[in-house]
Amino acid sequence: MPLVIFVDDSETALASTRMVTNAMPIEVKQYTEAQTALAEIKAGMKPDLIITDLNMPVMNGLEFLQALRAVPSTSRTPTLMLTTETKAELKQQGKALGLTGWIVKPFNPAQLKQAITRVLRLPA
Amino acid sequence: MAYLLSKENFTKIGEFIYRKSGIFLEEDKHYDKLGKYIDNRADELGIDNFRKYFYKLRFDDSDSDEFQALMNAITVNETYFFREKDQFEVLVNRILPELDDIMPKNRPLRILSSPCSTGEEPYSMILHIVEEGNVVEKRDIEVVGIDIDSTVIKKAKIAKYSERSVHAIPKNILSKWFVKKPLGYELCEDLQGTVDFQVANIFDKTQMRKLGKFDVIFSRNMLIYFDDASRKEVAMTFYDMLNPNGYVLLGHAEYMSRIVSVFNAKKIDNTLIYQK
Amino acid sequence: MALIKKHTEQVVEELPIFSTLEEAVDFFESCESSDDNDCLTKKDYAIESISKFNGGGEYLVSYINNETADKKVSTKIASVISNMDSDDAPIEEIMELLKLDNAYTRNLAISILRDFGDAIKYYIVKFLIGDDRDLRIFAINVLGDVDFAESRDMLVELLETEEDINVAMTAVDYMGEIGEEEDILLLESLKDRFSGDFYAEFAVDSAIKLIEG
Repeated sequence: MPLVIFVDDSETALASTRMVTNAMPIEVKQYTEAQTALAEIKAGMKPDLIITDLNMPVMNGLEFLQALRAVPSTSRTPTLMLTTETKAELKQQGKALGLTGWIVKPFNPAQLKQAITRVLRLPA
Repeated sequence: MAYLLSKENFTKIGEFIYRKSGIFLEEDKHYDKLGKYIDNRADELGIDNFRKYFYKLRFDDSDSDEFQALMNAITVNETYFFREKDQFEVLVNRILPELDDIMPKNRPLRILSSPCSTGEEPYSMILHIVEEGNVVEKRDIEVVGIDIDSTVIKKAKIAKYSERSVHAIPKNILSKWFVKKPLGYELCEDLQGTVDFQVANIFDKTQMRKLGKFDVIFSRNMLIYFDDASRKEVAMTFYDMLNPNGYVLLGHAEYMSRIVSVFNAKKIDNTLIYQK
Repeated sequence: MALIKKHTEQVVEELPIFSTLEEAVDFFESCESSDDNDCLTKKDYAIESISKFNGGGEYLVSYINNETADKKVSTKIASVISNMDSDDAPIEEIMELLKLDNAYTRNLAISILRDFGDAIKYYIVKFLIGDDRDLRIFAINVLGDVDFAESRDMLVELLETEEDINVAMTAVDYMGEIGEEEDILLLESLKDRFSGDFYAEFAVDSAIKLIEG
């Protein structure tokens, strides 16, 4: 099953995404810090999709994205930003780092499900 | 038996503790211990529910005594040989061989234990190093132990330990490197003096600079007792004290990634280590 | 090769003592850090010294504010400022950083301010009632961290009228931790205010569950 990882410093946000992914044919791993996720990726974990918040302490979503692109196994992994931010400049920065999509919080569960289904090419 | 602490409340207090100390509590490891502790404490305080205890912890604890008591209850404070031994194994099986390859050959590999307390941690390093044997055959290794408490440093230099202290050392290693004494065990003469013990304060920058640079720093279960600002300060001090590509290791439930971003977190053999 | 059995005196470069801010700043600027470890050590030392002079805090903030700032140096600066006395710390200047678009600098500023707790209470209140929704979110995050005795009252007051769902849900998260039974009605009312929103319903229900314990 494809592996999707979520990174968000809010436990509630992570719990809410679990509600959405519960019945989906995917494996899910969640992290409250980007660096822990990064360490596991460098140690061999291979996510098929990475969904991350932007505003997080210590390492924010864009920095995480940048670090991911520097690791060979995740240099091209699809990534979605799931954030309250809407500023064009931030979206530009994300795009320049190969971000696949930008979902604004609060997210619509159907929209999130659809985005994951589309990116992973899951059966509709 | 039902504790005052429900599973939901465990999550709640867990998040609070994580933010305040960096310790990450896990239900299967900590729930019972915490449940019992809170029941006892609530009894002592004459309160009958979790909310009141949690309120006291958060809003009625100006000198942090309550929080400190909680921390003491949930962390294993006692030091003993080979505690969290997989970290020593990662040290000798993975870290030292790697550093031996990349660090200049004309100087020793230097390891710091901070705080070293009565010496169990740095001596555990020494025991693993001599048992592994290969790296120490090829180059000099220097182990330094520091602690702010001069009484523990004094004890560390004497290198005499109780049964309790050595209980986790495999019997063959114990008999090889220790001498049985009436009151416990003494480190054998060959290994006496292999740790440079010093009284030092991690917040004293001048003292820290005088110690020189290190390739590996062990600092397990020390940062959790500091507030956020002090934790950042010490993390940056460690960063400065490390040679490039050197490593810091914290306690199992501690996470550097919550403190500063300058280290690269690496997972090796299920252990999280942080590289400069 | 062996275990070293004696105390070895380390050869450590003598670092200068500065009598003015300018001297410390010159030393700080005397090398390019990039990945030079010696330079980083020099800069670390300079930063500590700079922070002790009048005006030093402001200089350090101006460095963080620079696009070309080295992240390791910025992190060290953040740590040093966090440990300054709140009377000496350049708090106003750091507040200015919150208005920037640069997520990294903004988050760094937030992490510094979080360490000042009580000293920034005045600003927190100002943000909570202000127009900037990002600053309202920041203020709520600080409330959750510093535990003012009035934190709960402030959050309740905010929630009574907050129209931005993200701000409201940030507050709801903390209410789960510090809220009381009497706040449950207010929380329930948020589901009406943001009716139809999955996240609002989820977050409110989670918070109520935590309060009920």
